[in-house]
Amino acid sequence: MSPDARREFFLHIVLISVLSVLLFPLAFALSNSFKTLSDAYSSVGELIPSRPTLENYIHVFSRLDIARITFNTLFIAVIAAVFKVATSVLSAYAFTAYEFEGKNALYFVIISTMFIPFNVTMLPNYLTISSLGLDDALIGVALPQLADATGIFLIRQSMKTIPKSIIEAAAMENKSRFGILRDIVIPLTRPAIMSVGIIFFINSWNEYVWPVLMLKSRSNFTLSLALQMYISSEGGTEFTVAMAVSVLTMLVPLTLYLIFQKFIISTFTSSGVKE
Amino acid sequence: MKSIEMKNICKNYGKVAVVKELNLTVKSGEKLILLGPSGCGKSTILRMIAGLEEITSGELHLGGRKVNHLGSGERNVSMVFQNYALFPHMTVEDNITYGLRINKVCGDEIRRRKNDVMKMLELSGLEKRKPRELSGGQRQRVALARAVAKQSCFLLLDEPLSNLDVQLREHARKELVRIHEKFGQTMVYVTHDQTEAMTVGDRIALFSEGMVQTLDTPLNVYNRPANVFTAKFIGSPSCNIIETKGEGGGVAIGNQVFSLNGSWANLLRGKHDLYFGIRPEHIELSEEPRANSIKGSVRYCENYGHKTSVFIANDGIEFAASVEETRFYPGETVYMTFPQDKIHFFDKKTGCNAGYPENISRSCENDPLYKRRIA
Repeated sequence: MSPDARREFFLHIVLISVLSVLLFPLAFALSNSFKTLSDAYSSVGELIPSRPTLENYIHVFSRLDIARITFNTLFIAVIAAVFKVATSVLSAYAFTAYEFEGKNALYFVIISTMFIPFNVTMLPNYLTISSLGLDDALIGVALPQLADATGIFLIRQSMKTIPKSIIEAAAMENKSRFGILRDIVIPLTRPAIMSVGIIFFINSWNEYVWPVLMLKSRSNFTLSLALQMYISSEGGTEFTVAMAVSVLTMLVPLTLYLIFQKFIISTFTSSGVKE
Repeated sequence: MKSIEMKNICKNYGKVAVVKELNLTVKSGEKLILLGPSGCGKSTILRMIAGLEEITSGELHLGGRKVNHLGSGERNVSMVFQNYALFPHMTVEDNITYGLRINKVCGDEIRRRKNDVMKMLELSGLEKRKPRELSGGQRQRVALARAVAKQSCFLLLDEPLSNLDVQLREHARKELVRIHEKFGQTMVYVTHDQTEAMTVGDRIALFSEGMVQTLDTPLNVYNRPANVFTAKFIGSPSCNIIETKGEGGGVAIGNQVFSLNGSWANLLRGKHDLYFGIRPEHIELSEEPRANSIKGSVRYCENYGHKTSVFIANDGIEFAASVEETRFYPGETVYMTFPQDKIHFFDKKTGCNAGYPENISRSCENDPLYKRRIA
């Protein structure tokens, strides 16, 4: 083997092992969701079920209002993603195209909020939302998630790569700066905007701690809360049903990611490199 | 009514003054070239006219209207950028019509103008292409088409040809002149290329360090440079400028004396510290001494095909001479003759031109070429 080929070989071994570690939980959930509980206990590591069954899924669809739960999750995720993207685009544009006093200081303050852990803001947010009378309401879950420093940062990085002269050429024609944003800046940063939106959507979809704090009634539950019902103290016996709910929970984010992975990867890899 | 007037315009970046007290009027329909070395403020001036750069102080009038407070979209000015600044996500025709659509020009009119400019700039057939699918020359033409389709009274060009190769540049230069002939916009053209300045411009404003060094027709700038900077900047190889002293009817060139005719001697009487200037192409070379010739030896030659630049040393002074023949070789002794009607003198203190004996008026109105262009 030439040194290059040997390098390739070892690299692949490393990559394959990392990939298997990452993929194992997925395969584990998927295979166990098609087993009966007794099968699962006797052959928990068996990736291809010897006697596949749809029992768990039937259970989920008959016992849970899965449509309602999915709608709740979707509702919160769409509001969070749409608003986060909108506010990120507008503020990223302001930080790119406008010159104003204290611009850098303000940007620094906004970016530094990325480093404040969720646990710190959780209680103040909870108190604010419940004093608005929005606890146990879907909108109350979405409300503190309407803006995000990460989105501002990533979209601004992408906007900065647009040559200044293109913006200026648009400014020669446009009386409004909003027109420039709409016609030139957004189309040119679309990949970044889309991938940031998808990341926001997936994050909100998978969110557990904040909804569990806010939502009390079962009719307002999201998918991750429904999943939790089957893995907590009383649900331990229904492990395979939990796996079926897991699979259903993963379905939407996974599909979105598979469709848009090209944008997402390029946004995250280029954000730090360019300029 | 399409003039551009700049009154006492200053531009500072922090404490650095980039443009200092600029007073300049571009006449209606004129092609004014802003020429100068990089960093001289010429692009800043263009960007101030376009509204892309704020004016620190002074007034800018476009067509008699003060526009300091107007944004670039409200000035009705079109511009061609150095890197063309085409919108990468739009097709050629969308690029050309974008400004018209935004400003609600009616559909028929948009189509008519688009077809006109595309035909004129030989872009037909490329309507649906994206900028990345075009060659450099095509992109440049699309940028020009976009600016022309707007049909504004003012056309600003920021080094529009500098990204093209030599042959394309020549072609594009002619195209620019042709378009100007057709539409007659008031044109301000920034370049650092003296060939473009000489061939395109009605007048040239030569800048250095944020100030106008000279403002005149190309021929006057070339033949009657207002100061040493102008003489040296225009022309390649650049004008020979030699420190000299008046010596009883002649001037000292190294250890030799170059005699002046009566009218020069009269003009320079009483002026002692001078610069003597002569363009390389005006120096006549011979192997044998002639009357009033200056001796030197050839250091090296640069052959350009159509001409040869001969560098000649004489008592520590170096001259550049451009000749058609290639019969001069390093180490040879040559004799230089300076025709009396081709030489220049500049005051050593101020660097300003010391004048010409034949009393040729230096105003551009006497330049027949200029008269014809403006008429």
